[in-house]
Amino acid sequence: MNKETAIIQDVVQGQTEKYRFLVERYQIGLIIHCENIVKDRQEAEDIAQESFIKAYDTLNTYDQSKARFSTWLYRIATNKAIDSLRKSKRSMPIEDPDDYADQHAEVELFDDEVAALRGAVDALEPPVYAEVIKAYFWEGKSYSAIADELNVSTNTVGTWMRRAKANLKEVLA
Amino acid sequence: MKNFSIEQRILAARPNLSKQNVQFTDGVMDKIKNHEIISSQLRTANVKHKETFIMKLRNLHTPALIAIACLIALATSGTAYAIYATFFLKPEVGEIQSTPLKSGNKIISIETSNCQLTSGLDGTPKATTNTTQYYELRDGSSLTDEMFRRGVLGQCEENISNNAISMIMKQLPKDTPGVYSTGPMEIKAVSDAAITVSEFLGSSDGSVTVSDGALKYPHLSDQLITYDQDTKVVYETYKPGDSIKMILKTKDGKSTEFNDYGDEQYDVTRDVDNLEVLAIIKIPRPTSDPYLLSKHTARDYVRVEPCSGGEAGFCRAYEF
Repeated sequence: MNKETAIIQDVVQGQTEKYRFLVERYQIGLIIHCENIVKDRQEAEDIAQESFIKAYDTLNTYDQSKARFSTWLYRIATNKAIDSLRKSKRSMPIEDPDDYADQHAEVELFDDEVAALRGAVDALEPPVYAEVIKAYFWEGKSYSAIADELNVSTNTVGTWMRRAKANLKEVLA
Repeated sequence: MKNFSIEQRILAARPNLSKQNVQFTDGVMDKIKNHEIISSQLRTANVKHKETFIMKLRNLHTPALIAIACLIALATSGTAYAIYATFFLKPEVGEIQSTPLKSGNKIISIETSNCQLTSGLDGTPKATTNTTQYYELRDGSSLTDEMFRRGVLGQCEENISNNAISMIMKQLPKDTPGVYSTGPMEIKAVSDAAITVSEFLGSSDGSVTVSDGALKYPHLSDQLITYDQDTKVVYETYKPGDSIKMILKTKDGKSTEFNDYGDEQYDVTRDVDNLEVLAIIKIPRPTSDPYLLSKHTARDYVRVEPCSGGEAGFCRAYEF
C-alpha cells in the first residue's frame, strides 16, 4: 500500500486532518486545471476548493481499483468547472469531461524522469524562463503575481511561459 | 517517457519542499471541519437532550417551570444568534470606484464584506471578511456600474444560501443517494400535503424576478427538516411570499439523469412527482442575479490585480 492509499483509508476512517496532505499535494495542479477551463484564476480557486470538499464528502465512494485518486479528483473538478461555464452560458470547449480529466490529471514519473525534467528546467535559457515555470507550476503563483514579482506585464509572463514550455518539449522529446 | 503533456510532467517533477498556498489548504480544512462540528452539534441537540429534560420537568413546581422556560428562551435565542451569525452573515457591497485608462477601458474597484463565509471551529464567526475586488471594464461595455455592483452582490447572496444548504445536507444520513438542492424559489401556496413555488429568474439588468409558472411538490418527507435561515422552525411557519431553497431526493433514490457534460444533475423543476422534499430553508429574498457577471467574463471585463508593472498599477489576471 502506498502512502497516498494509506492516507485515504485513514481519512475515511475519521482522521480528517490527514486530508491536508492530499490538498497540499494536488492544489496547484487542480487550480491550473480549472483555470485552463474557466479562464479566471479566482473562479478556478473557488472551484478547486469546492472540488476538494466534495471529494472529501464522497471519499468513501472512491474506488482505487477504477482510477487513481488524482484522476477521480480531476473528474470532480472538471465537471464543476464545466457546470460553472454552463450556468453562465459561456462557450464549452470540452466534449467529454471524463476523458478531458483523464488526459490532464496529475501523473507520477519515475525518479530518472523527474531528475531529467528538473535538470531541463534549471538549464532553461534565459534563466527567467525557469523562474516563471517554477513560480507557476511548482509554487502555484498566478500570472499576475509572477508579473508583479518580475516587474513585467502578464502578457510578457505568458510569452515567456509559452517559450519555456516549447523549449522543454524540445529538450525532453 | 509516456505520452504525458509537458504540463503534467512539470507538475509531476515538483519538489516536495515547494511552497504551498497555506491559505488555500487551511480554507479547505476549515470548511470540512466546520461542517462536521456543526452537524454533530445539531444532532446532539436534537437527540440527546430531549429525554433527560422531559424526565426532570415532571418533578418541578410551576414557578420553577416558568423560570426554566425563561432560561430556555434566553439560551435558544443566544444559540440562534450565534448560528445565524455563522451561516447568514449579511453581505455588503460598496459603491463602485472607477479609474479611467488611456485605452478607454476603466479599472473599477468594489469593496465587499461577508461575501465569503468563514467561521471558527466552535461555530462562531471569525472577523468580518472585507475584500476589495478589481476589474478592468472594456470601453463600450453594456455593463453599468450598478449592474456590476448587483452582480457581485448576487454572488455573495448565492454563496451564503449555498453554504447553508450544504450545512443542512450534512444532517441527512450519509450516502443518501439522489439528493439535490433547488435554486431560490418563492412560495406560492403551502398545505399539509404539498408546497407550491415559483423560481427566481435573473433579469438583464441584474435584478431578479419571480417566474410566472408554478411548481407543486406533492411529496413532503415524514422527516421534513425545516429552517428559517439557521433556526429550526415548524413547517406551518412558511407562508406565501417567503423565499426558500429546498433539498430534494428522487423517490427511487437513484440519480438517473446527467447533463450534457456527464455531470450527474437532476432537473429539480421537472417531473416533480418523482421528488420528495427533504428540507426547506427560508432565505433572505435574493436581490441580484448571481450569474450576471459570469455571462460577461472575458468579453466585457477581466479581473485585474494590483501590481507594479501595469497601467494605473494593475495587471490583468487573464486577457479579454
